[in-house]
Amino acid sequence: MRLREFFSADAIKLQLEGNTKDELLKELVSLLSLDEKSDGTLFKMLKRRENLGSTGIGRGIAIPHCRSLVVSQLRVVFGRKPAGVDFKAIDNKPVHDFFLIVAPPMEVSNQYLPVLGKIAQFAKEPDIPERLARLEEPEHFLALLEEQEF
Amino acid sequence: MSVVIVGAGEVGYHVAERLSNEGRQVVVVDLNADRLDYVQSHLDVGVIEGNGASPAVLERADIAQATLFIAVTSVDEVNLVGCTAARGKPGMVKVARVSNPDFYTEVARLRPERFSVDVMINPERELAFDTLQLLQSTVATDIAAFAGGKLQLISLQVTEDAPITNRTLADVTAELGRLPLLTAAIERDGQTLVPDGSTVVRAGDQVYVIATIDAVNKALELTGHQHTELTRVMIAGGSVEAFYLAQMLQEHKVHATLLVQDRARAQELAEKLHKALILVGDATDVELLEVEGVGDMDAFVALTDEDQTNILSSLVAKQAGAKQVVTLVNKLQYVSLARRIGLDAAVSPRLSAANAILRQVRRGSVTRVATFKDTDAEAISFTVSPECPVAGVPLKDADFPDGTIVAAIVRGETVIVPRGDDQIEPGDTAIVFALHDAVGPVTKLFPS
Repeated sequence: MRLREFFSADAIKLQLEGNTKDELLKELVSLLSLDEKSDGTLFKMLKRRENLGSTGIGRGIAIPHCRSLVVSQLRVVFGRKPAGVDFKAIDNKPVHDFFLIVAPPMEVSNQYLPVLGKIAQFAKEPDIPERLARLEEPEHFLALLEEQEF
Repeated sequence: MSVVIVGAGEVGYHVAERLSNEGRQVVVVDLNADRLDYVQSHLDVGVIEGNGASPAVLERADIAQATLFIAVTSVDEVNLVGCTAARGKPGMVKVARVSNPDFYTEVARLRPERFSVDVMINPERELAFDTLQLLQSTVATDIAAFAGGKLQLISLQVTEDAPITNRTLADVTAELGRLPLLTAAIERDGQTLVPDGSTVVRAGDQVYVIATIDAVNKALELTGHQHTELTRVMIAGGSVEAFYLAQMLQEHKVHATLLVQDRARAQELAEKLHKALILVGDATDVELLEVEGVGDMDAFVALTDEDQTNILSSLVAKQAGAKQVVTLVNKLQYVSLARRIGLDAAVSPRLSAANAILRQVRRGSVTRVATFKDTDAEAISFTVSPECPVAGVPLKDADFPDGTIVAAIVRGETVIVPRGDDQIEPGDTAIVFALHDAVGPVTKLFPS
């Protein structure tokens, strides 16, 4: 399984506009191009997950994730907020890079945990925060995934 | 042969109990008079009240006559100073319980004589190691490895519809032929028995099977279980044990998710563990466990510092569908309780430490020992010398004490799970499963 297979250029945004945790979560959700009702449902679920403990895993990276019926297959989004935002991350530092993962509750292929695990590993590679900061085009992000063989 | 043990906590107590049962003269030193009263009323050992790091106190414990010194208080420094202060018979072996990883750094390791310690035992690391072994055999409730991991002794509960249920062992063995697999003991209704061919296996029995790595799957199948690959493990807690386990899993390329309540500790772990996913959160929160996919994990391990939290989160994880659950319990009374309330397996740092110490102190002819949590039995690995009276005799004719069984013979690179016609030979390593009462007598058969 390769992470590259799950990402597409239209679900990557390198200049997120939101300035708060809530605004950013909504903006990430909108990149999935679901209907308005689904957007609302998903935002609430992600918010609820964040309330159990932030998904900001440190080094400026957060991986908001949940299972929800609003998607029929596993979906992922990558977003960047160059200025960073307070996300209550474990190291208390602002978060710049967001990986959103949403999977249906019952998945035939059971990819939710493998994808979550891979993204976490990718995020922990030594120079990833710096390389993400240098991205200029969504395609560069896809190329980075390929290059790192994730 | 006399032994001085400093520290009458659970590790000290457990080690004192085992060594005194084997007929050794044991003196236990502790500052706490109440603990010593407890030890004295339960065990046949001497006790001395005082600071075990003090030469004068050790003198009162007759250290000059001791051949073995074991310092297992909860304070590393006391244990290390105790080892420095202990002057026993020439060649006395000194064992210290040391938890602080700083003492294991290269500098300290290169010069162990600085602390005059022969063996350092790290309870937290031992526990992580024991847990890893349990996880690698996902349905076993207890496990020990011998012969460099080629041979495993595993404990499995026999299911209702298992292929061996309601059959005699002779019948099962006949079917297995030379397959390297043997039932060393059966625990039934709270009693441990060493079975023979006529023993009938019942559903619910806890069987202790010795098998080579290749035959472990067959052991699982016979007892009604399936083997599953270990790829994903969730760990509750940010304890030292959790760190060690995550590190070991990382080395085995198993993905670990850690749920850590304390944010500062979570950050510290996130910096040290380069592959694991560290999340802040309460591991007893059903919703959090579910959203993190506990039901799809191969295993859930509860390793917080609180027994109650561990038991509770393990129950939640079990209910949410975790395939295997391992629970850390500090209080030894909880170990058997954990299984009674439906948890798969319990580990205890004290028991892991005590086992590690027993393994080390029985050096000489003994190379490895494992004691099992709920049984009255242990597995001991002996090196067979030319003086061994049972060497060269077919096992069915050899005069072994009641309550013992030769579970395996390691000859060079070959591991033999023996039948009655096999025999042990000088130079072999014999792995013997023995009820506690038989440990002393069987040890005498293997002079070093």
